[in-house]
Amino acid sequence: MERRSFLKKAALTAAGAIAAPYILPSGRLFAASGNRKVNHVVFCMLAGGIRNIESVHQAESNLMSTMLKDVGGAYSEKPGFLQASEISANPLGNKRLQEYGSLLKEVRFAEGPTGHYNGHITALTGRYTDASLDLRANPDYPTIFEYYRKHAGSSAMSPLNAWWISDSLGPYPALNYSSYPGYGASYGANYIQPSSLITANGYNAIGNPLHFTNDQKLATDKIRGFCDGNFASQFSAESAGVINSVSERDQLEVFINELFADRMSGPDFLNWGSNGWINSDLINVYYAEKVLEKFQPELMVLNLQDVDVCHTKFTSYCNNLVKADWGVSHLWNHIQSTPGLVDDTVLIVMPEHGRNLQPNTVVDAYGRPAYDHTNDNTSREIFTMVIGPSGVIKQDYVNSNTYGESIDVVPTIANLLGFDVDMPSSLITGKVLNDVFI
Amino acid sequence: MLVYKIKNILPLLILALLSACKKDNKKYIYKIQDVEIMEPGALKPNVKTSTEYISIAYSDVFGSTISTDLLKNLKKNYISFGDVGVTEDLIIRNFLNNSAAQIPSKTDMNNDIKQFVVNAYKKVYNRTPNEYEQWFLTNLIQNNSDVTPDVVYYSLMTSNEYRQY
Repeated sequence: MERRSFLKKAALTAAGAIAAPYILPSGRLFAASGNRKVNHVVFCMLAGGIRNIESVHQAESNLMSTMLKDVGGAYSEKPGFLQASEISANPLGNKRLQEYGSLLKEVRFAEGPTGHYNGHITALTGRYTDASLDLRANPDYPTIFEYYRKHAGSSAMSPLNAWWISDSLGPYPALNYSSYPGYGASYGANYIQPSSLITANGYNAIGNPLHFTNDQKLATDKIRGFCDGNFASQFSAESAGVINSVSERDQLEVFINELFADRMSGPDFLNWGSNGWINSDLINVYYAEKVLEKFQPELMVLNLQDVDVCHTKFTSYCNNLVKADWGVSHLWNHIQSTPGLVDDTVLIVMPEHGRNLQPNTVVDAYGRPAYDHTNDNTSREIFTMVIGPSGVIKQDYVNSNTYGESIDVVPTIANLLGFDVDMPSSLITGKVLNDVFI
Repeated sequence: MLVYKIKNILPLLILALLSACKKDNKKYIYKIQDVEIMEPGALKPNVKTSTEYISIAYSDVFGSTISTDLLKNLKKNYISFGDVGVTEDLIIRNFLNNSAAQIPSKTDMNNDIKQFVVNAYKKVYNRTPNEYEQWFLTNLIQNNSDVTPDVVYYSLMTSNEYRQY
């Protein structure tokens, strides 16, 4: 072997030996500094404003009987409440969700207006905010999605690994990334609002696209590339939303087509319960499960908000809480039935804020007063449940003391996925909820 | 014999040589045509809103104004998915797959490729193609049977220039 050839091969071998340990199975080039506790986190915002009075304190009997053990008695069929026969069977059988993890009963949404917008931003960014509702504005500070994609591995972390699934439009589509310098759309999450997109109207609008052959695709790439090369574009990632690669977009299109096919042939959520059982929260859970099945993302956040009917109908609020409770347990059961996720996923459940102690002036058909959420102490009282593998999360554990804030979910997720030490400390105001860990 | 002939024609050769080297007294004036140099895209500095993008695309494909209900529905689809590129792509391909789409046939295209390219640029980009663009697309269409009118219109309508005005 020639000397030059020998030296070249020796140098390549040495470089390969140095680089190889950092090329992870996930395709990331560099590992985060911390140790991962699990490889998947699902954060379910049990949003819409839920009072601890009706949730963990069970003042109206146990409305969350698949998640919580009975405190003062089992679910009671009060006037206007769902009859037991109308409630689908507990997805967890005889178990309650809290037995699979830890329940923090007295968490606080300590600062800022107790509005849905502020509550969501706080939970997703880990910072309290007094931002006014803006339908088009991204949060001012990085979201957990951006922290994850920027710090959990290399900047090439696939957006298919981070998902934000909301049950309504309004300001929520803008919460998958922030406007913070150095973060933004390049690190954002994929977003879907299923009940608006996966519909008969949606299918008619975008469900029957022209398909090109591979050779035609190459031709379109060539023409578009030529056109883009001749045009100085101001079209940026910020205006285009989160950006997926060509192959990721292909996967997303296949996924959307699968969802349309499922929707048009009769989705399985129609079998989840009796007539009237399915609401938009449960539809959101259904599609969140579809995303989990398809992509097995490392980070997913979904929200449920049907309980917000409490502004005018307290009885419907209670019934929707029953459904949301069932949906969360169904989600956990699905996670535990999905290869790749089972025993490697932590589920965090938290309302974005509570509701007032005092009612407003509206009384529903059953004589029950309604409640808003306007910054009183009760509207700042929430709970948090952290469910996960027994080697990671304390099982069947309850902390009834005041502990934790809504801003703590972001650093807790970061800790679970092993990148909390890589996040800029100046941006993080919450603390890791260490009490739930083994 | 040969020397005699050369001697006879020598004066003629000298005369021809002298007249060929006659000084040219014409005045040539070279002018430079004024051309305004602009960065490509300078004439379309604004990014279309989702409403504008959908409305204009519909008009370009169907030759009519989109209905309020369809626009509302498409806009909802548009904002219901995080990667705008995916949604835009699906919208455009659904438009092109509609039997009411007013896109030239492949036969029409092949009958007059240059005119097809000009018409496509006018319809989609609201301008005529420059010489290079004209040559590129014409050449591609002539040499690649996979390049159909749909391929051309789809490519132009999903390019960056189409997202701006």
